[in-house]
Amino acid sequence: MNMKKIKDFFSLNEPENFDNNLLSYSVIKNNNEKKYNNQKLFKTLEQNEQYLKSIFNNCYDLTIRKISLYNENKGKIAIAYLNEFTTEKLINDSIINKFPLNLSAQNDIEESIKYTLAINDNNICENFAQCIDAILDGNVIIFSDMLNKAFIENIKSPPERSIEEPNIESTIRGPREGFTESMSKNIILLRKKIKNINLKTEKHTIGKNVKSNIVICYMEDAVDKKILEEVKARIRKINIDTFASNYVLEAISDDKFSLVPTIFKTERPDVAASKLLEGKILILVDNTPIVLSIPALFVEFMQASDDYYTNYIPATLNRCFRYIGLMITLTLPGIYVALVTFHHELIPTPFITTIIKARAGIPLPSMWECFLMLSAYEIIREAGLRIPKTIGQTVSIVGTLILGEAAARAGIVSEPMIIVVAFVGTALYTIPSPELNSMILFIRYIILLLGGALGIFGVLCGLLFLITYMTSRRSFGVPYMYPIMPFSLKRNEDVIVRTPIEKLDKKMKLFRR
Amino acid sequence: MKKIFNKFIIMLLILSMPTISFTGCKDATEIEKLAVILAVGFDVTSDNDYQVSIEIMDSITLISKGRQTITYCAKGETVFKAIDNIYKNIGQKFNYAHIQYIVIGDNMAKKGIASIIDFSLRYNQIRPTIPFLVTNGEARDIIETNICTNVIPAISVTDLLNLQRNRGETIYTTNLDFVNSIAHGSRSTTCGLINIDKHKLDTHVNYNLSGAAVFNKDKLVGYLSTRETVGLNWIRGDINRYIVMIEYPENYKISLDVTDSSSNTDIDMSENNNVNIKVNIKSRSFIREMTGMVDPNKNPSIMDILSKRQNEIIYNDAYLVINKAQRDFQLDIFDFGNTIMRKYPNQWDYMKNNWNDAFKNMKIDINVDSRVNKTGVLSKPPI
Repeated sequence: MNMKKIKDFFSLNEPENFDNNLLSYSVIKNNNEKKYNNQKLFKTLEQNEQYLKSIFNNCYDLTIRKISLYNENKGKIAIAYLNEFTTEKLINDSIINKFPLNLSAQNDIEESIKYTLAINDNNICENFAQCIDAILDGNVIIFSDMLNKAFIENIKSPPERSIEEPNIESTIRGPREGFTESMSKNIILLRKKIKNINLKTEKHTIGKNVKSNIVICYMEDAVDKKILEEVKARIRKINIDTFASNYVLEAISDDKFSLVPTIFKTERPDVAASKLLEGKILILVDNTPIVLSIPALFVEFMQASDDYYTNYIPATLNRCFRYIGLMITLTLPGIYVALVTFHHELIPTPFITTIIKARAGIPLPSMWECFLMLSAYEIIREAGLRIPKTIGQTVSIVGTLILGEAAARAGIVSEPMIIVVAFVGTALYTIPSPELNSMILFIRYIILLLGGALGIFGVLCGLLFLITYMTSRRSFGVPYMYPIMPFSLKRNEDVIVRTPIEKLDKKMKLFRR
Repeated sequence: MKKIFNKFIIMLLILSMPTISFTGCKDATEIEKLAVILAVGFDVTSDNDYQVSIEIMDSITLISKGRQTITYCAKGETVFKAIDNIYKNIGQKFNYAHIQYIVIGDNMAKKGIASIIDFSLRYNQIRPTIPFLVTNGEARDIIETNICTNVIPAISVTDLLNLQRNRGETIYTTNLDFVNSIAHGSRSTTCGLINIDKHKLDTHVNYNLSGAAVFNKDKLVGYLSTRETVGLNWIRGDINRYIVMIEYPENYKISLDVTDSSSNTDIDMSENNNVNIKVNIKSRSFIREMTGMVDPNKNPSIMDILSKRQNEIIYNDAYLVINKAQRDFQLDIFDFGNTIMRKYPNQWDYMKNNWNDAFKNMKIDINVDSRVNKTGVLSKPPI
């Protein structure tokens, strides 16, 4: 009884009975949802219309048009839709003009509507919940007099981007198409590549207030059933509103505080299709061009799609450089600072002159000098993301060249440090995945601090900790460093070395069971 | 959330543990606050004190012209005290890790260098791979000379040493080699000789790194000339680039370029403890310069004649140094003693005390097998 009172207090006038309080239904949506969930359609057009209007009150974009179809006065149909989703012309062409003028009431109404509009049995609904979802999805709903059924006609033309080449994952010789925000287009892009009945697409709807569609794609013959069940279980638990795939990613990932990404993201259909063939599970989220691939291994983040579109010798070489770049961008600041502050004997004698001369008169200790420069670089980089493209080049030249040189000339930082920071900053972009990139920034700072405090010993401790950490990660139960640790020579054909595709295809790359 | 916070605290504790327990930070020194020592010279003064001259990196001069090092000199009762006295002049911490060479003055070397060897091996910052050099005059002059081949004079010495070492005109002995050969075996060693070249044809001041100094235990006993040093290196098989001059045909000179040489020493001990030493020298060379009108490609037997003459030259060089070691120094500077120690450890035990006495009358066979196998781009001289 007490609970009831409190409830009443907060949700001002929670209706008990729909008939009396029609207008109050849309005040609090959650309550609303509960009520209309099981509400069946009414027999008369007026009742349906009134009910619909009450739910969509204060929504100017809901349009309900009534059309007389029959010779008799009372024979009418009503079409309801959100008018921004579609155009008048489309509705006239594909619904209204299709009805014959002399439809008589003696005909079976349901059959004749189904026949004229070519409506599928699945698109006939009997309760309001379905109707409302369909309207919100941009479909046109057709009610008819004397029929407690409604028909869903999908003629929406929502604003959509055309298929473009993704900016981040650009290739030299690969296909130029990328995923878009439209789910249907994305699925078409995948189906176009994999013409196989084993490609399954399961639709789930998640979210509390916003109903978003997510689709789980997998190859039935290649996927691991346990992982699939796990993914589905985790998706069912999602109870947040999602607008982007990262919302889903954070909701289903193994470790919320992971230093390394454990779910792979891509914007390229060709990459996504090859992941499917490897036995991975894709998660497509509506309204986002980023597709998630599960489970993800560390080596995937070091593979670029161009590796498979060029000869395997340069591809292998590029991969080696990528791993070297990874090591450099992680450890170079830490090692440089350690050498300069602790291990002077490890610097070659001719080089020590240069460093000493460059460092003479610098007010900051090397570690803080490096810290300052790295932070300055990151600030300029972060600013560069948001600088308007028209003035971007000027600003970046001022930011990097002039700032760096002026700082060196003014004696705030030394030249070798500028070289180190510039090299480290550039080497970061050898890594193809932006997810791994952004985590490296953080780890690099830790290694820098360790190097500055404990020398090479500290750098080694940091690396050891990192390696231990990475080997102990799991992505949906799969060891994160899989072909490297636990080591498998057979699966190492696509890690540092990119074996010729023919041989690779037989073993079907990394993950396939 | 709490669990993660706890984890974070534990991680911080683990990370801070080494910071506290390992004294890493104590040794942290910014690189510009270091006086990087590049070369050290040792002399002995008239009142029996040590005089140390050091060459350190100059961190002040920003213009990179001319010499980039500064030299300091100080005296002290011990080696380290003398170095320590330099602290009175400079406000920087010494770093010993980059010492390029150690040079010892003639007086000091004659007095004995045990204290220098101890100093150079005891302190962990000093590498055991620093070459030792001896000069005829004062070590201080060598350190203070303005040399024009490199902005860092110490590096110009190491460059010179590495080249001369291949040419066989000097001996490369590091502090560890030094102590290894005087602690056991024949208890004598040699090291390179460096001087300031005063009889040069050009006007630049420069070093002359040729010849060698001979040590009995830690005391200097004499010097080897350049030719004797080459002979010593033939026996050791250390020559990689050397010009041998021979006459063929009569009154015409040929320069042979040795590209590769090796040697091995066979030591046999007969039953009455007679030691037979046999040195086999092998080398390969090609013709670098030829004036006599002969065509070795048409008449290959010329090459054999050239080889034979080359054999003689090498044999003479090698015998020269053996004679000098046996007659003048009466010291086994070739370290044959070490070879015997490894091969016949039991006999060596009662041999080692008077090894040098036995060595001076020992018969040493030298067997040279050299080949001249290329004529270069030309066969016979063009004119």
